[in-house]
Amino acid sequence: MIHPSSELRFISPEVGYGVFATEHIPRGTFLWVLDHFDRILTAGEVGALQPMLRTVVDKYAYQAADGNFVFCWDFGRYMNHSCEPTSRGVGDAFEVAIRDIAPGEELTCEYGTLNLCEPMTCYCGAPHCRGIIRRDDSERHFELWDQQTSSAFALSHTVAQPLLPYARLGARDLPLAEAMQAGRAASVPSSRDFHIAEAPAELRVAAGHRAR
Amino acid sequence: MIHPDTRLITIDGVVGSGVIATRRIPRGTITWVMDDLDRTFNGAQMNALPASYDDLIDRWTFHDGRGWRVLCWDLGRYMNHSCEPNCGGSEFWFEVALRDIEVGEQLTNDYATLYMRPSEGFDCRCGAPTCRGAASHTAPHAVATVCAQLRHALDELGLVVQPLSGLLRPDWLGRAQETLSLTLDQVVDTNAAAAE
Repeated sequence: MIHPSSELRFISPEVGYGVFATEHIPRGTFLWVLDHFDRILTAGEVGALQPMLRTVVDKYAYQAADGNFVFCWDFGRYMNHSCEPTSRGVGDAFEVAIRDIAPGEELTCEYGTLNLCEPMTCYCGAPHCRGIIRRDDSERHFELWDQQTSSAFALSHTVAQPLLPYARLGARDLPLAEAMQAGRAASVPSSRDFHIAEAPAELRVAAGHRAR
Repeated sequence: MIHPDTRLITIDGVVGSGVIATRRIPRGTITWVMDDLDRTFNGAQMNALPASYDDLIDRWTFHDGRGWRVLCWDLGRYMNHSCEPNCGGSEFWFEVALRDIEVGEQLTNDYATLYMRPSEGFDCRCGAPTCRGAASHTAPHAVATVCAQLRHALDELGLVVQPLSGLLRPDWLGRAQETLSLTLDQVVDTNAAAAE
């Protein structure tokens, strides 16, 4: 579920839609949480979808650390990538704002931790844009990413968290949520731990068929 | 999945968003079909959701009258109520245009056909000449009217372009045709029983 102080906007035919802040959102705020309405599909279920739906899932779903694909039911699925994003993933269920966000600013995340099935060319325009976003980017960049998420998550108990009542918490998320609510420091899992080395075989085959 | 010739627009601060046609959609066109990305929740699954979800359920899901709450993944969940709707059939897991829908016109349902909970009622400002003033869970004659219009619209399925026909399961269509052949009095009775 995407933060309530946000709205969907059409950016351009090339980029499509994006999600923008409608109010000031402070660092440490959860901009998105995995919720009970989000659809979770196994690789086999994705492979069996009708072509019209498969196109949608290929474009808007991400692969979670457990290998399943997450298709957000709301505007969360329109969050774009930036090489200098406004939020980063923490655990399986949270995106935490790693800096203060001004009204009108686009909410962006890091696709390098979403186990992309195919590399993606990036046009984010950030000074340190990586150009191409790859499935294994976390292996090269985890130290900076983890440092940013840890320091932002440490602020999470000091700011309003309107999304927390809706979060669908997994085994790695419960200790984070408990620490947050108790105002304790939490050991944040490394972004490297969410990388799956290879795309599912059935989906690689399907991608080959599409290319032809 | 909703018909591709649709777009989400902001209506106003009270109504929020709505779905309009970007091209003319003739009567008999399939405007929505439940698909594998829509979510369905039975009673037990609904009860397992945190209490914080009650408002979301009222706002974003509809009941099919057969024990399932349906959450559309796409624009389908933004379709507004009208007391003179131009779409109907959601209880059969697909919808059909009950009359021609012009470019820029909103696609609407009569929410009385969606088996609303009492908590889902609201003051209606749809502007239709026959507006009931309040959308509530009990309006059996409105439901019967939609059923009659739907029965005629289904006769035109084969006469118009159908971008969503690949998603419509024959048994869903068969069930709709069978149910709609009931007399209006039977429909009113069935609906009243389901509402209780």
